[in-house]
Amino acid sequence: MFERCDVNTATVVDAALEEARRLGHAHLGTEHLLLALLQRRDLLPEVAAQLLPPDPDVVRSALAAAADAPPQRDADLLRVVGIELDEVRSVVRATFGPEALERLGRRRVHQPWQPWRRPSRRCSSLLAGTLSVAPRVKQALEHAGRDAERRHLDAIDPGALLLGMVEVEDAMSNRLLRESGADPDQIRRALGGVGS
Amino acid sequence: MQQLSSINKAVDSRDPAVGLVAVAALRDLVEELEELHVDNARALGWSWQAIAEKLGITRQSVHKKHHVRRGRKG
Repeated sequence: MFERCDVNTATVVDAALEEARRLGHAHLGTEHLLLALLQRRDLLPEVAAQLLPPDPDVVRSALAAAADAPPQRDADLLRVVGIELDEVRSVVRATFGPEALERLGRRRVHQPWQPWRRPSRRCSSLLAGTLSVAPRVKQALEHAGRDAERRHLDAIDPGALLLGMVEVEDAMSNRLLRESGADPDQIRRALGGVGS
Repeated sequence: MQQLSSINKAVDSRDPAVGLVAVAALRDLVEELEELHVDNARALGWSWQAIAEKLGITRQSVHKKHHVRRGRKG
């Protein structure tokens, strides 16, 4: 999914993953990409960088206010019922080898057609500690890919990523931008987005 | 020790919002462990019947859950 990103965008995505883990989130969302872009605005075109909220902490507190409840880390949750996730991990690693954990991280969650069951809320693995990627991030990357093509780039640069994000109308990142006093439409125009 | 006290604190609070989510996480963990052990048993040539007996559920249940997940490769 991220294979079309250039080196700079990969740096941003890594920072976003770090951000998501630090916040204890089980998914990678546009909000994390936005926080990462704010820290690495040097990688963005000047016109777009100056339209972003100057202070990442303002966006961070907007994010904290937007969340319904403070997210809970899997390890903390399991400790409530007396399970130490790290210990379970090391037992699994000792029994089946590290590649078993890797396999769990890559597995596709099978969902048979069973309308009477709640859909599995987890697309990631507790044991592997992987994050799932939010659908809005996938949409943003699709938009970003089209923008990169339009500009005859081989890969998605950070500018294309940001444009892709503001083009996903209901993305969390747009909500946070607005709440922090920035204007996603203005950013889209600055980056030469179509349909603005 | 610190870990133990944090468990006690969480249990003492008796907040269903915490307890229920924790149980849901535990159920997810059990599912993952079951996958690992069923895959291991199949790799060692165990039959679905034998796996089901050890898991204490019916052969049909094991088969339905794991055979399809494993891409019907057996």
